[in-house]
Amino acid sequence: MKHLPFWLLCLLTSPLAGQSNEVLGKVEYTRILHYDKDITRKDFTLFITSQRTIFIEVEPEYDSASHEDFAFRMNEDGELEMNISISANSPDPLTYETDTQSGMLRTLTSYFDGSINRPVLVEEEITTIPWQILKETKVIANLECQKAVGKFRGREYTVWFTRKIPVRFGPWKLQGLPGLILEATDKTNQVQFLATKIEFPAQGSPALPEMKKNIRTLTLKEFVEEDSKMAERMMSKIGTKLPRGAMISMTDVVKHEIELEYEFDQNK
Amino acid sequence: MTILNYRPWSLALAGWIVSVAVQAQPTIYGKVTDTSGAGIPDASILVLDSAGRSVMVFSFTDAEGKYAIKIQETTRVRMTCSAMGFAEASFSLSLKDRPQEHNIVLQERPLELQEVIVRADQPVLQKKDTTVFDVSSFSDGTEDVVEDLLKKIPGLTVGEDGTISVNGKEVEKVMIEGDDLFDKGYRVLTKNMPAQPVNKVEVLQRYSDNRLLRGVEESDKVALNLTLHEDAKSQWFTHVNGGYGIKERHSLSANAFNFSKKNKYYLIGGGNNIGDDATGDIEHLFNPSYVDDVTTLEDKTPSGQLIDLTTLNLDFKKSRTNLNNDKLISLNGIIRPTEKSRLKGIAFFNHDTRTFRQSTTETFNAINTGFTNTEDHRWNHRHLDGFGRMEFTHDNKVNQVFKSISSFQQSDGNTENRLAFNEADAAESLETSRTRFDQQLSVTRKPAENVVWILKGRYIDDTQPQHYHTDQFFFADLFPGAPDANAVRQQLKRKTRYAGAGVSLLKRGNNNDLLEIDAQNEIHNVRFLSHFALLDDGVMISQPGGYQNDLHYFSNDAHVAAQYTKWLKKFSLTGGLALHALYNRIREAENDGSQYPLFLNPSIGISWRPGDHQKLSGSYTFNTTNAALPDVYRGWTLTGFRSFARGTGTFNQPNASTSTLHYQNGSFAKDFSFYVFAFHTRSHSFLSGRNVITQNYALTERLLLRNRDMMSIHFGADRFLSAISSNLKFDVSYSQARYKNIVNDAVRDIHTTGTVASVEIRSGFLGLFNFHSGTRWTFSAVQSPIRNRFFNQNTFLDLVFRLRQQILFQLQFEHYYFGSAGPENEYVFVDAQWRYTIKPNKLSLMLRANNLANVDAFTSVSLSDISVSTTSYALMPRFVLLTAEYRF
Repeated sequence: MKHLPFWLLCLLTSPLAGQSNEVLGKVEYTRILHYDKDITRKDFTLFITSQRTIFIEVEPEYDSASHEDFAFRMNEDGELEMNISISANSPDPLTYETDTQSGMLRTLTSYFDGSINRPVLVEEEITTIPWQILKETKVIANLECQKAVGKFRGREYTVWFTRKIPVRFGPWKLQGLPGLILEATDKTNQVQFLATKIEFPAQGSPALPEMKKNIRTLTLKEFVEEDSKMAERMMSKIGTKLPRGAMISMTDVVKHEIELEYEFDQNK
Repeated sequence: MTILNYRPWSLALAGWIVSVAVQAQPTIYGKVTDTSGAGIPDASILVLDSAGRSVMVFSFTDAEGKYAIKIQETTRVRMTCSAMGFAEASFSLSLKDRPQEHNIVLQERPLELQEVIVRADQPVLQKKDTTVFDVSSFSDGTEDVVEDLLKKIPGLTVGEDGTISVNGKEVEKVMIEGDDLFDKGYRVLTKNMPAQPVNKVEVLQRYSDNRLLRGVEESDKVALNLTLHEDAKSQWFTHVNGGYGIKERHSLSANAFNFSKKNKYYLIGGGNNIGDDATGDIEHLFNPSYVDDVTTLEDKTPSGQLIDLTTLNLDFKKSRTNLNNDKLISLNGIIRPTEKSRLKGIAFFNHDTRTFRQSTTETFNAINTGFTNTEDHRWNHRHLDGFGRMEFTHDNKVNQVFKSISSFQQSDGNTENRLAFNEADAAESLETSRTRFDQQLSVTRKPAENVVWILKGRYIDDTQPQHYHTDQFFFADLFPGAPDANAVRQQLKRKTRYAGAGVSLLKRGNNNDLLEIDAQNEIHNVRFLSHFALLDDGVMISQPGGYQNDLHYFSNDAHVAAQYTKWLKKFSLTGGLALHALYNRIREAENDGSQYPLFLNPSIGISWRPGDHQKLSGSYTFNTTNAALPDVYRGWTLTGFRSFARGTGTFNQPNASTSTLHYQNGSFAKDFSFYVFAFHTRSHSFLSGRNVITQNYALTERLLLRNRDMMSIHFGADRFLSAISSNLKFDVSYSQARYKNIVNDAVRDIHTTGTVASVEIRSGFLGLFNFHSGTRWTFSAVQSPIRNRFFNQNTFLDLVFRLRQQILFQLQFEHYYFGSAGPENEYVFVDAQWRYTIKPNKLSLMLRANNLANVDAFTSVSLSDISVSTTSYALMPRFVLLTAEYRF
């Protein structure tokens, strides 16, 4: 409480320093996911305020139903094989909120309950990614960028950040460098974030998109447990519907996530 | 790099205490404020080397603007502080052993960047329907075979069995430099070819075999193309799978490959005597499927043989009755004589010996006759196949592709049968050969982006002679004028010549609508000879009249067809119309007739997707067909040791209307789903049979009758039971047919019905064990007008144990029950398999034990409108085989 007058002063003298919703800049990114299911490209916008960012999916073409695709083939033994792919979409645009003031990162995503996707808010603490800043530099859009590498949730990322935009943010959950991250690629090339358009200051004073409230909220750990259980149940369920001789391999469930492992898994 | 909680006193104390042993780590701390003295949160503090080049440590200020940084060594450094909306501050300082305070005041300066658009360079190139991956960006050098490499290519999934899919859809083929040798059998390639020569991987979406048809033809196919390094050297690589077991059971297959940028070679050799059809694996090589291929004219020449002694039609795995000894060798190659042309050649030889044993008891129940026959057959069948195929393609690389496919086949078969018919012994022999030449030509041209036209032609010359002999005479009643006959012989020859030419046009409209127009002229010219002779001690004594054929059959079919598909959101409508103008002619010694029939074949189809998991589709077609050779010859021809057949002796154009309806609700992911499929065909006129049946012989003559109805309805449902992680599947189908035929001068109304019901349960446990069990009940009935019914039941249980990833153990039980097969009406089969993968894609071992209960004969019952037959087959006895698979 003793800081209250100080904070008031702050707000009065420097609106940038306080918890402000004023969007300082806007950066558009393309997220490219290369694992399974073709290459998927998705555009996101990062809205930057002084201590908070919203990284939100652009123009999601979503419905809450799941989609299936079947393909049949004869294998070398003359048996019929079936290829099934199931994808489910989220009812809301995927949104990540990074709030350095509270130290929390919130994700508005969804979980598949077996028939439709339901929205869920997942909360976690902002992770300190052990970045190692390297000497290499390159220019992205006239901005000098510096290379850094760091491991985050099972992937080794190489990122390029620019100190010309001195914020500690970046796309998705990547953050914690002394400058905005404009490009990030994981070592396996499966995950890529590329800035496509940078606006500082943001044009037309856009409003900061608000996170959806009053929906189911889970901790990351709870969410991951629930999600993986669902996927396994799903696979085994499909397996039971196949004709005789047709096999589905449960061990072959490839995890197609940006995050491959979690801090709380490592104790296992 | 460590960020500390700032406690200067404790640090200083600790530092002083241990300073003897360790050099203390200097700390810098302080507060970052704006010009008014307010703390700036989230400002970044960087500690760089003195030159200001490399970042040693960095940190951020807390909510009050405070920071603290610990540094590894004491040196001269440069510090930089920046925050959004402020100018960067930078200064040098020398680090000391004790904490230093540095408060920093930042001057306000809003960040003004011009709007910038970034163009990033990527190792992936996306063209229209093609995605190109530069291998060097994805490989880490540890890849052994192509499959390992493909696993690293984003967007591709390689299944456990090597199946490659893109977007959940399996690829059609994997080509090398645009050349394909494997078709759907691409796993032979991806699991064996070294990864190192591969330069780029291309994913081709909406793939069509003919480059020019892409984007015009309806296609959701995906294919892969691998390009090789310019300097890739050709090298041989091989793959061997060999097994040996008790009673000299063996199985061997060996593949050798050599691929370079220009030329590709692929050799296959192998053999087995465990019932596997050795040619099955590679059939696609010499007989690629051209279903829906608009660039070829369909092969309408008859493929079956007039006399076939060895065809078994069983309700279970063919490998159980296939007592074989197969050997085959195949050589395939592709060379590129010039930049724009390609020559693909295939040579294939197969030698096969098979033995079959079968005993049949057949009870005939016709209106004015009734008797029981017993037959016992012991066949020895040998055949030798030679096949060659040459494909030449010239692609002008712009808008035109020329293709020529020539193939030649020579087959020779010989069957010897020790026959016992109602206790009379006979020796039966059949020699068959086939010589076939097939030439196809096509030119595809794409004048505009959404239009393709194709000019195509085909010529086929197919000669099939057969010589049949049996040393018994069962036909004394038929040929009373030849009392001395004691054997029969028949020589057959069918020579088919086909010539066709046509032009097709495909046009893709704006709304994805598709127009197809096809104009063709096809000629069938068949010469059919059959000479049936009665023998007395090997000397021909008679060639009975009415049992000989010398026929010229000629048919010219000029037809034009158009089809249009219209899309309206969730609704599609397809309409088609084909107009046929024919000229038919039959020429025989005392018969010369011709006709000019004209007919229209319309069709209409609708499809509707009201929701994501619902689909309704229906179709109606009216189809008139022109009678082919087997329907028209007039002389009786021997088709088995006691049966004769002949056609109608005249032209016919039977026609039929068919309606189908299909509804599907739910999907694999849902707990409950079901489908209904129904069809009805009314043959306004059809070719039925007029039969004369006696104990010793049967005569079947084709006869054009009116009105045959066939209908069938299928219902299937799936229900997933979460409580036991298992799925319950239920299927039931009912079919019936009504038609007329004539047996021994009586016109009979035949009514057949069949009901098949099955229930299955399959587990989806996540652990090492799973099971799958089910039962299928078949009820059949024929009313002719004598009513016959029977009931069969078939139950199975499969158990799978997976111990770690490398070990798989599988046990299968099958139980068959025949409700009307007499005392020996139950059979149990047990098969086991154990597979151990020592090194994936390199070495694995498999132990296979088939037919553990050693069931050596199998009896099944079948029903026709004139008889009930009980047939026993000799089965592949129990065997145990140890197989090793190795790649080098």
